[in-house]
Amino acid sequence: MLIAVALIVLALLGTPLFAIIAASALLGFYHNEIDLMVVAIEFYRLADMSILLAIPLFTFAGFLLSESQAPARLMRLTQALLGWLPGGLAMVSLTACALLTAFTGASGVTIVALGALLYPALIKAGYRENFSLGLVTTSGSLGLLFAPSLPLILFGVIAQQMSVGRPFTIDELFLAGVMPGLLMLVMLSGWSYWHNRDIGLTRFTVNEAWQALRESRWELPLPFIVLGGIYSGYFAVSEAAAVTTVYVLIVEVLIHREISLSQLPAVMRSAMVMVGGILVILGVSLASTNVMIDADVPGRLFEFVHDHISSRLTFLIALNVFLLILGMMLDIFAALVIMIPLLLPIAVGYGVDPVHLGIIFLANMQIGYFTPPVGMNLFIASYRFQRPLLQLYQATLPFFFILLLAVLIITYWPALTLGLPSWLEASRS
Amino acid sequence: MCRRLINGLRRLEDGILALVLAAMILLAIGQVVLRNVWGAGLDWADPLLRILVLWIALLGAMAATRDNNHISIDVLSKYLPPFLKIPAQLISHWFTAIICALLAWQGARLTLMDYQDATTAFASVPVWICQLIIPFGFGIMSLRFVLHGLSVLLNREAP
Amino acid sequence: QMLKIATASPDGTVWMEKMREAADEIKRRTNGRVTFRFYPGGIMGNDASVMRKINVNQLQGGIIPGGGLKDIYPDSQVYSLPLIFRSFDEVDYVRSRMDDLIVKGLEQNGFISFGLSEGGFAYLMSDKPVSRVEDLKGQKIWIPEGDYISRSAFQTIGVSPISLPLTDVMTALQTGLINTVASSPMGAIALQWHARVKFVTDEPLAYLYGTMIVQARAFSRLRPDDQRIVRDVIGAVYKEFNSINRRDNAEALRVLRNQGIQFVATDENDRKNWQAMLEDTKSKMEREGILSQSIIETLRRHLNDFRQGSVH
Ligand code: NA
Ligand code: NA
Repeated sequence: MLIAVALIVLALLGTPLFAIIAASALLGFYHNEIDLMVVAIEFYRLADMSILLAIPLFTFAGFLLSESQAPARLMRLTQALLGWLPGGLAMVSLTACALLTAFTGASGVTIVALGALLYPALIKAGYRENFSLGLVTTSGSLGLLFAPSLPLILFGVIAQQMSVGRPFTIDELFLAGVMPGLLMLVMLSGWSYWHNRDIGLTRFTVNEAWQALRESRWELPLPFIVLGGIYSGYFAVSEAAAVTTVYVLIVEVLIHREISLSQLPAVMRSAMVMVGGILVILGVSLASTNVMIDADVPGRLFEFVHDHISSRLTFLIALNVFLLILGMMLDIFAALVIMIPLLLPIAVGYGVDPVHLGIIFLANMQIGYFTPPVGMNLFIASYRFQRPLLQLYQATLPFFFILLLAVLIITYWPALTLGLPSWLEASRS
Repeated sequence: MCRRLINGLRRLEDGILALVLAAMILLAIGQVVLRNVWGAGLDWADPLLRILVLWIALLGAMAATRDNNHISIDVLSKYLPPFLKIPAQLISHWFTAIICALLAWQGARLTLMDYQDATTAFASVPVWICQLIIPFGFGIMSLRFVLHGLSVLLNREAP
Repeated sequence: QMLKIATASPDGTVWMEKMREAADEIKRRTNGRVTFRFYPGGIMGNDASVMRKINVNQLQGGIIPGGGLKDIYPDSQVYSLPLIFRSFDEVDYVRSRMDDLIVKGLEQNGFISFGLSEGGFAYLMSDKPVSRVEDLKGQKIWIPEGDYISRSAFQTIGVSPISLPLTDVMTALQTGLINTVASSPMGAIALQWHARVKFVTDEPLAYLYGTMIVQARAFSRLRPDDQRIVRDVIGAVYKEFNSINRRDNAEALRVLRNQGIQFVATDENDRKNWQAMLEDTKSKMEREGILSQSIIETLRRHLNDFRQGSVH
């Protein structure tokens, strides 16, 4: 108990999470009188999981995209196509951010890369300051549910490793995220439309639309390669990652020449810093999970929870509250590796589908990014746009409630999540 | 002289990281092409790619350590009074250094075990060579966290 | 004393239920001196991880398929030779004479086995009809990771198979990364692979089997009478698995036929054509020291005895 408190204090002081998780694994094995070498054996299992290959590849592709002028082109295109709508520019921001976040995994990259473009554009188009701030901050985590987002892949990896409940594939998870992700987009767009019905009209011209389309003709096929390739079953996930990376390299380095060959090592390095940070956490968390499995903690925890919560509905409500707080406090990757091994067996015990749990989990985490008082994107946006935190709390509040409603719909209407994958599976065979 | 040596080593490390990633990309796309054109890939490529993921994980973590850029929660330190900030950083760096050293040690024992058992990973590459990156990577990280702590102590400011 | 056992077979299967029942019985009969804890569904990692964890005493044992024992006692893989058996009668005849040899071999290498249990015959399942060796050329064949004998067998006919972890097979079948698998009918249905293939070659390709091993060091710490109870109870369960699996595979084969999957018949010529693959694999295994000459000789002798006795 004392040690647990000490570890939490160390974590709050800014000690790297991998060290905290590794320490808890080492202590756990030591306490259970198991050879500490098991920590290394578990860490080596990083080399057993073929899906992990997708993580460095997609991350590198995402970094290349955000280093190039692709975000600007993406914004011009969506603006040309949607700008004529009331609230159109807001919808532009939402869509562009969702697409970029799907590739960069909501690591704050979206706010930094796209926010710099979007925020001034929104203000210039006459959107209110608080609305613009709230929108940009919220958009920073939008798109987590769309393939090939890293957290989605990571959830699949961890859940498959646990092998609790119905087995599923990463492709199925990718499909499951589509409708809930769209629901969030549509609800936020609806709010943007309603809130800004008086402003922000730019005329739609065929010429501008055509120019913008021409300009981004090389990036346009990307979602189709990734989503089309995976959803149609043409590529395995890691194959799609390889094709995407090479395609982005060719487009940004050879065709657009926005990233020079000599810049490449630096981009590689910054992408791999993030990958290393995530994978080293995953590696040590395999060990910490193994401590719990070795001692059958998930089973005992389930019994404990089961004694206190009788119905599935109550469980889901408790789950939502818990995940919101967790998402506010914890980095999404750490939350995944620490909580999924505990939550999955419990959720399955209450009859929640594993794929549905993944989407619920990530949807909550997505809000957690800007839940006051300590959601990470609030800090990033406050720093990036030089606005006091309190103003950001205020600015994001309407968006928070809209997405909270979306999360509740996602949680209590499983068919929204599971309908698409099962429909596609049925039509395939 | 010492400065130049360190800079050289850093460039070497970055070069290796970039090379491993480049090899990974080439090998992965090569497999896609081979499978679609010839119908079958190289049978050592998939296991090698999985090993490269492990190597990227540790090389990336080493780089993250150099930049002092690991994922952390870090909510408390923002609100600490200045005189507590230095001890807090010192404790956090050196605690991490100890954990990394333990991980390196256990990694070394694992490597030794698979060396003695002479297990093979793929083709005729022994498992222990693939595992070497674990003690090596965590060893370097441990060293770096010790140095981070020292620079906090000596410069009296965050590195 | 607790024996911690890992297995790849998922929780909730008949297998796991029987194992748990057996564990309860052992606990009762040893007055709680010997208890088991199972880690199903591959939660402790693949066979290589499990062997490492047995090495450092986190686990005391595992339920391991035939190919997974090659690092302990290579000759234990002998039944995995492709096309070696033509019928279950041959299997029963040979196994009743050779199982003890394998169990003893494992024991001499530090592991107690409580008997082998049948996984059934693996059949080639594909998107194209395969009746001759040549039909396999250009097919993308999956083999389990670390299955050295199958790999060698396919290499002798100039096909290089694709090895993937079990969890990736379904996706690979969907994406066309592979289009041919060798699986028991039971396994194909359990893992839903049967929905992705159209043809089954009506000839047993290889015999699948597994065993539960326990580290001899840990086992010897049990009281001698407790050891006997464990051997009796688990041994009986393993005998039961044999008959359950044989029945379930027969049933699964019927299901496959009823689902409109075509069974590709092979004639005498085709069989000769396949037989060359067996001979090549055997000599390759012998040459590379994967299987000892004596174990192959023993198997061949028993098979000849049986075939001369029953086939005129
Ligand atoms: Na968070
Ligand atoms: Na964990």
